[in-house]
Amino acid sequence: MTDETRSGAEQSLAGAELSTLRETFNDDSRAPQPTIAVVGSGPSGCYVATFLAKKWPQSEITVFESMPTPYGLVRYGIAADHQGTKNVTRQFDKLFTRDGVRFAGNVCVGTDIAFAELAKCFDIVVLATGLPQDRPLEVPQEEGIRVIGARTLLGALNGHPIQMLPRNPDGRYTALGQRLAVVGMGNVAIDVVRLMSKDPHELDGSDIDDELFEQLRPTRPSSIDVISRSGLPLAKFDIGMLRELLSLPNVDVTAIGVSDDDDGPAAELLRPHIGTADVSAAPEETRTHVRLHFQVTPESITRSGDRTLLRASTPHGTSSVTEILVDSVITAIGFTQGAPEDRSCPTGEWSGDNVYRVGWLSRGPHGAIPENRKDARRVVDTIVDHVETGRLKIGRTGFAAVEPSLRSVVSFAEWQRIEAFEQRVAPPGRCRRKITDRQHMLSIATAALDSDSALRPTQGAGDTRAQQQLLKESDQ
Amino acid sequence: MSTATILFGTETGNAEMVADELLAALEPFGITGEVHSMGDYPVEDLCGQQMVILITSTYGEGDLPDTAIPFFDALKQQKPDLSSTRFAAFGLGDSSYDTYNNGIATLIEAVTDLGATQIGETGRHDAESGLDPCDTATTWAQETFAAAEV
Repeated sequence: MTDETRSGAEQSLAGAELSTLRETFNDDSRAPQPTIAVVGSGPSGCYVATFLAKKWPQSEITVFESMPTPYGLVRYGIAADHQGTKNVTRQFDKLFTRDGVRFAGNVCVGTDIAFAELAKCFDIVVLATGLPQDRPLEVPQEEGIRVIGARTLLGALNGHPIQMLPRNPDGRYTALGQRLAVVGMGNVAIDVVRLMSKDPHELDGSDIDDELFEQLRPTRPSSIDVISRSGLPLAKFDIGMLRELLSLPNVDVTAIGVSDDDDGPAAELLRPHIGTADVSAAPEETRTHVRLHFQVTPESITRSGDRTLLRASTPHGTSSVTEILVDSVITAIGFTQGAPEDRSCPTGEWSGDNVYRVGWLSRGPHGAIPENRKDARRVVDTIVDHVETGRLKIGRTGFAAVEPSLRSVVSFAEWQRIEAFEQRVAPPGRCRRKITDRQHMLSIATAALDSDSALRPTQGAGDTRAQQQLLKESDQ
Repeated sequence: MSTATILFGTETGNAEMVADELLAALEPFGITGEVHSMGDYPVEDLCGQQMVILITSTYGEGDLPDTAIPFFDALKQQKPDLSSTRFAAFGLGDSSYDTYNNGIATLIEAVTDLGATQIGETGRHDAESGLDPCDTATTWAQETFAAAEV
């Protein structure tokens, strides 16, 4: 090949490349660039944004979140001592820091901006608001008894700013007491049992709210009765959760109502722990006795002196009714939609050709992160199909159309300042100390950059004390 | 310039994120590659690959994630000849469980049985460490591929 011909070949190659480039360019410009609003930054919302950003890198995606902080149940639901599971936020962080997805925190769709406005301004709206409340236990309950939802409890231990827990006249949270009952035996119930059975040093590496934990549970309870309507084969906990509970150093587990025919890994694990409901055989005082009751159905909760009496029926027991006298009952029987007056909860009117629902909001409170990721995948496949087949027309303005009406939006960079602050003030043995006061979060998020050093704990002991005083005051 | 096929098995997306990240991390070593979910990858295509990077989490009781199970089953059934295939392996797990990183061990055994040769040490990310799995994987890739003649 002579230089001339090579040069000619190069030229024609260059020409071919150019036309390929143009095609690619044209393809890219023809590729859909929809404007997308995701409502809710929990796992389902973030997975939807992840898959959409991967499919359409040029699209404009905004994730709206009513809290100033992202990640919903990853931050406020997954137990504080399961930081490994919370690690999924590493993925979501990249979504906002690298993949161009916008975080619009502190914006409550339904109160700060009308749903209809969102549906009008964005090509696609994906509702991922989850299920915000504990499902109530539908049995007769006397006034004044102490029944607390697991979501409320775990949220509080996770530092959620809205605390629904009862308080004493002195403002401290009312201690749960020495004897607890947990109704339900799914993973959330096991989370409650495990956290209640751990000493503070066993929570190393967590970000539990120590102050609240200390008020709520000054010492480990002497007993926790856990009640499952179903038998062991249908119990809802994951086997790993049971294994973890059994491995706790200060806990004795007794399983009651396990049938001889029950087999499988859970039965194998519990076989050495099979016992009776006889509470007279008092365990060692310093240990927490966890009794797992299978095939027990709660019937009523009444007062008995200053205690709480949980009546339950046991179809296969020797007596038809079991009575458990406790200080507090914690319900862990699933989650449900918020109250009708809660305007942040999607109603049937939150719908339209360009509106999609994902995760627990559409599926109910079943499955953990992996199942909701799969659901997000399915919903994104549907959205992509609707856009690619032309069933859904795109071309709406997106975030710029709603931005002027929004106030005090917390950006991802501003959230990162909150996060950095929480990590800086972490007490020994904790990975962060969450800010539990919303105004405090906002003041850190929006503090002028040059005053950032004022928020940083300094070497001086006096400064640190002042700092902690500030924290204390604003967290109340 | 050599090529690598990066295959991930994931439940939460963490292994997929690591796979995407490794693609970028391998560029300085002159390695280009493609990222595929194990769930979408035909095992017979493994035979023609110079370098395969397996990345998987562990799920449940030391099991493989859903997307990796069909891949593993196909390896067992179709038994592709992998005697000319080299591979590197990275697992994601949580050391608070007894079954820490069982998933990647299962896959290593399967491809080794079919004749594949592992290069470097198996990389492991421990969710309990609080480290970013991408950072752990990038460090691992630098050690593995700087030492390897690829």
